[in-house]
Amino acid sequence: MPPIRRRPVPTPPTTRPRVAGLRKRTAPQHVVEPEPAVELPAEVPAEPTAVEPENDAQALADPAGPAEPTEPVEPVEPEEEPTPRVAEDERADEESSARRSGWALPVALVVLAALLVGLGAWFQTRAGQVSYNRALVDSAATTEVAGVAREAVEKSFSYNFADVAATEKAAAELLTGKAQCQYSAIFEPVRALAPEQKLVVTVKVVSSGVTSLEGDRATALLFVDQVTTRTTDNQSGGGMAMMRVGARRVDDRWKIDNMEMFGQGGDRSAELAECR
Amino acid sequence: MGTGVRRWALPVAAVLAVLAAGYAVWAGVSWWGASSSDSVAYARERDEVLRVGQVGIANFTTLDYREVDRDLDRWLDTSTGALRSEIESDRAVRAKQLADARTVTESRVLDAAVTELDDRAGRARVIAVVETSVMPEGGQSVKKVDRYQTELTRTDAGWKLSALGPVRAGGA
Repeated sequence: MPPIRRRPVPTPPTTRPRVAGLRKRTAPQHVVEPEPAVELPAEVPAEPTAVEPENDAQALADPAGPAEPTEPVEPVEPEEEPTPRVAEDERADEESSARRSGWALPVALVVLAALLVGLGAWFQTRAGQVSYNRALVDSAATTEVAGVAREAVEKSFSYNFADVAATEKAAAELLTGKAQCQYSAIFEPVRALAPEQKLVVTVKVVSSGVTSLEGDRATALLFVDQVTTRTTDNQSGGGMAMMRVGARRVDDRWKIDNMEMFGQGGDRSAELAECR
Repeated sequence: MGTGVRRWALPVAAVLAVLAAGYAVWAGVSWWGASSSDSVAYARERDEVLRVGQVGIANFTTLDYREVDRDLDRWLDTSTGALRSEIESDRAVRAKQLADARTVTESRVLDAAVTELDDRAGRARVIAVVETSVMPEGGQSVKKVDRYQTELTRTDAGWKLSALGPVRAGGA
C-alpha cells in the first residue's frame, strides 16, 4: 500500500481533483481520500528539490574530500586563498560535471551509431552470402544442365563399330578436363572390341535429376540404359548403369568435367580415380 | 571554446545514429528478403523432399527377418496413399514371406536426386542409387547396387512415400 500511495502524488501536484480521481482507481474507499491533502504539500517540494541538492552536495563533497587532507600539508596557503580556491574548484567541478553530462549523450549516440553500422555490415555480408542450390529452383538452368548431361552421355557412349572415331570426336566436344581422362579410361576397351565383334551400342538416359546447381557448377544423377548388338551373330543384350556427372559452365556452355559410375568393379573405379 | 563544439556534438551524433540505424534496418531487411524469398523456400522444400526420399528408400530396402513386424511398422510410418494401403492389405502374407526368406538386408543410398517437385500440389519424385547388402542366415553377404524411383506426397505429417519401385532396364 505505501508505495502505491506515494507514486501518483508527485506527478499531478497542481490539481487535486485529478489525484482524487487516480486514488479512486487504486483504492476505491472514500475514507482514504482526505489523505492526499495532507501528504501533498509535504512531498511535492521534497521530491523535485531532492534531485538538485544531491548534485550540489556531491559537487561540494568532492572538493571537500581532498581539501581537508591537503590543508594540514600546506599550512601557509589557507591564510590567503581559502575562499577563491573553493569557488574555483566549485566552478571547475561544476563545469566538468556539466561537460561530462553534456558529452555523455553524444558519445553514447556515436557508440550506438558505430554498433549499428557494424550490425548493418554484418547483415549485408550475410545477404551477400545467401547462395543456395538452385537445382529445380531455376528451372531453365536445371533443364539445360540435365539436357547437356543427357546429350553428353548418350553421344559419348553410343557407338557403331564402323565409326568409333565419330563417337570419340563428339565426346571430345562435350567433355572437358577430368572427364576426358575418365572417358578414355572407360572407352579404351571399346576401341579394340568394337571392330572385332562388330558392336553397335545405343545408350539412353532414362531418368535424370540435377542434384546441385550453384553458380557455374552443377552435378546430376543419371540412370542409363544400354543396348548392345553384336552384329557378327546378331546377339543383343541390355545393361544399365547409374552415373553421377559434374558439369561446369565454360564460355556460356555447359560441359561435363567429371563422371562417376556407381556399382562398377574395383579395377575400373581405380582407373577412373587416377584421373585428375 | 568547448561550448561551440558541444553544441554541435549532440545533433551530429544524433544524425549519425539515425543514419546508422537506417543503414542497419536496410541491411537487415535486404538480408531477410534474400534469405526468405520464395526461391529459398522452394529450395528448402526440395532439400526436405530429398532427405525424406533418401531415408524412406533406405527404410524400404532394409529388413531384418527377425524383426519383420518392427520393419513393417516403419514402412507404414514413412508411407502414404497407394504404397501404404498396399503394405496394409497384404501385411500378413508379406510378413510371412519376409520371415521365411531368413535374410537380413541392409541398404544405404549412394546418391539421390529430386527429379520433380510441385510444392503446391505436394507431389515430388526422387531417384536414388541404393547399395544393398543381402545376408542370408549363416551365409556370406552379397552387395549389389540398384536404382530406384519413388513418388512422394505431402501429408499433414510431412512428406511420405506414395510409390516406390526399381527402375528396370527398358524404361520400366
